[in-house]
Amino acid sequence: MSASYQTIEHDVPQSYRDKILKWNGWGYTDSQFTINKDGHVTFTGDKYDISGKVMPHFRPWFENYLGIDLNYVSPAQKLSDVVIDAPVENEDLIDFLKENNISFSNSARIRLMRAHGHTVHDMVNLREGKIPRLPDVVVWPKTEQEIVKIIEGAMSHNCAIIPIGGGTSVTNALDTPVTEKRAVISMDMALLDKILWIDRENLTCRAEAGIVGQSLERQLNKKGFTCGHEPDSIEFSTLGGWVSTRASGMKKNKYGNIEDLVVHLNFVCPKGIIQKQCQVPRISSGPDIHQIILGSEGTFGVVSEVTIKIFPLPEVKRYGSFVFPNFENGVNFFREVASRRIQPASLRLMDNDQFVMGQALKVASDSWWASLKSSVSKMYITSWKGFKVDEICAATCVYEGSREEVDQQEDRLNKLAADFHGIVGGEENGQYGYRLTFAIAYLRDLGMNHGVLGESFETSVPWDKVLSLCRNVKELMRREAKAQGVKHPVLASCRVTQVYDAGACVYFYFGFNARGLPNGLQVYDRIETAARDEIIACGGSISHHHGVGKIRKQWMLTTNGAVGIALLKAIKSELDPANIFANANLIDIIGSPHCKL
Amino acid sequence: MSIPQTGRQINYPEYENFLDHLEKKGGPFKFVTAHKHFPVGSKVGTAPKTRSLAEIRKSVLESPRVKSVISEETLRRKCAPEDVRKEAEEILDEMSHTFNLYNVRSFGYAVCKAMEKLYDGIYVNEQKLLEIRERSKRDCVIFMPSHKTYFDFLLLSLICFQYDIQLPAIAAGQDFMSMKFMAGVLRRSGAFFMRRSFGTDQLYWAVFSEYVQTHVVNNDRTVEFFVEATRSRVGKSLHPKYGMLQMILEPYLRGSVYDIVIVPVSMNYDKILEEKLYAYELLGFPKPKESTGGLLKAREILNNTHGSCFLTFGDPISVRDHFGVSLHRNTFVCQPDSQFVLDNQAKVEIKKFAHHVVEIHNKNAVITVWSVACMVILQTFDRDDQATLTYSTIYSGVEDLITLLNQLGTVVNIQGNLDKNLRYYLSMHADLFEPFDCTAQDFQLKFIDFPVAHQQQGVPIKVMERAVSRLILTTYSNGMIHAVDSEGIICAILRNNGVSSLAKVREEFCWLHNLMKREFVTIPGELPQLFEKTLRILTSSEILEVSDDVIRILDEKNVEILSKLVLPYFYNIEMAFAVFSPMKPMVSDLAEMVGTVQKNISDAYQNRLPNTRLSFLSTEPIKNAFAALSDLGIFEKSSSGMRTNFAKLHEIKARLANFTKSTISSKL
Repeated sequence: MSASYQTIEHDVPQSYRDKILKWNGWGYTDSQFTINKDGHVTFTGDKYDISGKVMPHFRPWFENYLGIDLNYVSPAQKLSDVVIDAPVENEDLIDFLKENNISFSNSARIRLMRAHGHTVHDMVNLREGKIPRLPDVVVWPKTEQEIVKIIEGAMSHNCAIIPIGGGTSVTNALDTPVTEKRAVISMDMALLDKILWIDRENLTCRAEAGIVGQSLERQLNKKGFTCGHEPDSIEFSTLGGWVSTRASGMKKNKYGNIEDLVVHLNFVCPKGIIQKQCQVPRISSGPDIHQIILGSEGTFGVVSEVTIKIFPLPEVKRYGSFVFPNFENGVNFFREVASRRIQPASLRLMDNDQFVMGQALKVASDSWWASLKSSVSKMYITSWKGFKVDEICAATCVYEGSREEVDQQEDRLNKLAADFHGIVGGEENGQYGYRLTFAIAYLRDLGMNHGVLGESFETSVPWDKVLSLCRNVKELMRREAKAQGVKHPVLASCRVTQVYDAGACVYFYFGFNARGLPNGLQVYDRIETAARDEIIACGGSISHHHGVGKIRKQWMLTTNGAVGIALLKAIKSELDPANIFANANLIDIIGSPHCKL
Repeated sequence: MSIPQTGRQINYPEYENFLDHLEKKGGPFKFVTAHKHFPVGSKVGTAPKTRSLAEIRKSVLESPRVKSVISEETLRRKCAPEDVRKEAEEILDEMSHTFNLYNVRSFGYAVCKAMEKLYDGIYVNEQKLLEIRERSKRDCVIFMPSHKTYFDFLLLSLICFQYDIQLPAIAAGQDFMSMKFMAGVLRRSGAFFMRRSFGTDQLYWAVFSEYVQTHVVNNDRTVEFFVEATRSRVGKSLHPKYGMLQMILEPYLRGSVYDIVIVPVSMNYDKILEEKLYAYELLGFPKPKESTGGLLKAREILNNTHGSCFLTFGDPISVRDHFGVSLHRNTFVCQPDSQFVLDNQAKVEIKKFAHHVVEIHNKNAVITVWSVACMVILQTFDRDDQATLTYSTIYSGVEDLITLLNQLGTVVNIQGNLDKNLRYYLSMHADLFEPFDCTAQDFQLKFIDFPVAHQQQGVPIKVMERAVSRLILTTYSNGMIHAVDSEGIICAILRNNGVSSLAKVREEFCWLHNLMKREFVTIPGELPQLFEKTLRILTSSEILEVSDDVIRILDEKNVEILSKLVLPYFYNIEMAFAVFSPMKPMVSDLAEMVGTVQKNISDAYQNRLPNTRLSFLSTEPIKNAFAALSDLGIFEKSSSGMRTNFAKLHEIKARLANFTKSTISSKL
């Protein structure tokens, strides 16, 4: 990495973000899919179940389903070749930070690591050495008072602030707007990572906003509790990040989404601190101020502390799985589960493409599907039950509770599944499905090494529109890819990841081999935009939990209406009139440099 | 820029003759028993699958919409849900088709045999069919044919069979059901029946729309319906109806299907089987109930050739592409799927689309030499109703008119040379004339009178008898009017209204077209564009020129010819308008007035008043004229009937007279 300016820093903490995370890909530096010397796909490192294992069925899947030639590599640029521009100078700010003994650094790598999230754009840019506008200085507040101080400094020295938690955003929320002329401070919350107290009487816990999900959960577990919030990004995402994006966890059926878990919080904004006077289970005091903060995506201020509900660790945690003859049966089963309100902690339905992909990712020893090939159970499913290999799909679930509860839940679900021609697929396959969730994020990096562009995006949708939405969006991605000149088969797949009383959350996975396209990223963009348009036209939402960031701003007006947007703008101008929190997420503020008006 | 072309020339290889195929295959029996590879339609996202009739039935009765209406009705009627469900089942049984390929094959045999006898050729543009076949595998294909005869759907199904396209489920009017035997056959060939009106019957509405939509959503087969709703008895397009189209498009709008493909089909005939029936019916003699007996009697018809039929399949229209910009599906998503309601904007766009389809019907229609000849003959009668027709005068009239049409970018289909072709048509339609020798160099033609059963009020039998052939002639001449209607209106405005400023002419053009919207189908809201398009045609064919926003006539003669082609339509409605008199300000029922108009026309004809045609006796334009007045708000409903607003009516009549005047000597 070359940077032609002098690094200025003070009291820089040793941070996991700079030590053990990839600079241009997902997750830990030591963990990735690679091709071993036998030509098989394998996973490196030692942090995951599949680490060090070989997945012999994956290469054929990869080659067939996406038309990939593994001998073709599109290597990423080396970090040493990356050129970083000098930051916007603001000596007054630097002096202010030094005076107040606040940790900061403008070192090139530290800025780079906090300049992006994980959209396909972010990754392609890093891999190709196209470095976007970076924040100019990174600060690490150690206390809430320091946050207040930093905001004061930003106000008196004409700076902008972009807070960063885990950096797992997939909405371009962390990108520094190119039009921002002020010095931009990246406020890294990493040092605010402590649990402040655990209240066993009320089953609540107060923690600093920068605490990483897995750390919070580990500490709670030690004391016999769980926070119950388990987003797929839990290894890296933070409590504050969950609040500011309205996060959702896979076990929300039992524990609730983040808005159900938050009991109290402190929010620091340029006007001061928002904080309720009491920590109560529910309150009628006018519109809930928390709801303005949840999902504000760093546009109004920054979350400093949060009180969340905690739960005693369940006696039993058990996985389950079902196999359905087709997606429609699976969805109908889910609908019935929701209407009877018998959902276990988590319930997910994969479509056929994902089912097949999941089977392909199985490691040599335990490939259920592969071993099924000649076995009696496969005969049972395909011949006797009449399931078609290209329509079959699978559901996985997690039961949590007392042994008795779990037994009862499992029994109820198994019986109901039979009504929809579902077959119980066993605990092992269920567990496998959830393990895969963590590994799957690494998969895109392998794809990118071989010319694949891919992304996942999600929505929420009422029950009566789930099937048609899934079908139309997948069809659109296929047809649009063809129309845009994609030569190879595309991966257009979906899964239902959450059930609600009134609808479901649906995740789409889209990937294609961009080899041979003059501008693959542009093609990707067109298809994702068309797909979101289709989602909305089919009754889906702008987002279920990823948020809006900058990538989905264009749908905010349709989603909230003109008056709704005006209200958000009014809140913004009240809380942050100087637009200090200038990440330009959610909406464009008239008068700010990034506004097109 | 090139002028959009109207009309089609039938040429191999664009058009294939189906009868040649039939012969090559070894005749009807071999044809209907041939092994077929109909693509099994697939619902996007699931494997192709053929549903059984029972599955279709179940999907309707189990649909959220039908279930929800059954619950509502149970509460409203205070009865048992089983009763309502039973009624729903009965409704479903009444409408359902019982499609079955074996029946199609055996029925198809009879149809093929008949076709062979009836027609010299059945021409189809084959490439489009191959394209449609491919599309039908992915998305549901909806055929929207023009409708002039019962043969339309027989032919279309036959052609689908030939090209291995899933045979359509056809929306047919319930009047067919009175033909016991035929109704059964049609059901088994895939026709389903809808009541003509089912206004507020929620249960019927729910069952019917689910039934139609389950076919669209599951892409079981292609679907066919007539946007004009009923057979046009007048040889030109009828004003479209929208209900069925809305119903068919709904699954797309609420996202139940990815796309729907609409195929407009222009179906044209040299000789329409029902031509005489139509003429009687239009004169007001009761319509014989469709009965199988009636059709069988038609067997004598089988011994005469009916020339050729021409099926022109239009470019498949992807509904997604067509409505992509104008209709935002996201405005509908706050409604549950089971209670879907279209907003006004959507209805407007769908209406426009229906008119657009009719426009394509016309653009792709084959204009025959016979159609031109009928126009020429009618114009000859305009000059002198007792004129003796000779072949040579007709021939030269036809030749001139074709030259003018070609100049306007309209193609008239001439098979071989014009002389041969015209003689072919005359002998095909010989039943209209007293015997003549078609091989002679020149010969005279005299129309025969067709017997009528009884006297209509105030119109002498003689007049009616003569009118029958005039109505038949008009029906055929109407087959070309779409190519010159707008041109004629502009020319007549320039000649008669005494205005030449572009804006004034446009204003008048739009007003007149709007007044005539049932006679000449146009796209609502797009008349200014039509004006510009027509003006381009007239200027590039050097009939008019535009400079400084003033239109000038370059070719007086053709301007006169063009205006005379359309003016009779206006004279016709003018005579209908004349029936409302301040002496009798209350009208109880417009239908009753039709007889009076006919009597007035008959009187005018007998007194040899100018601009009166016997064909004006047709009830269709009279009803259209009344409907136009209703649209313009001339009638105010009151308890004792309808009060005519004479001030408004006078305004309309004056404006219309301004347009028709210069040729009406009596009004000068």
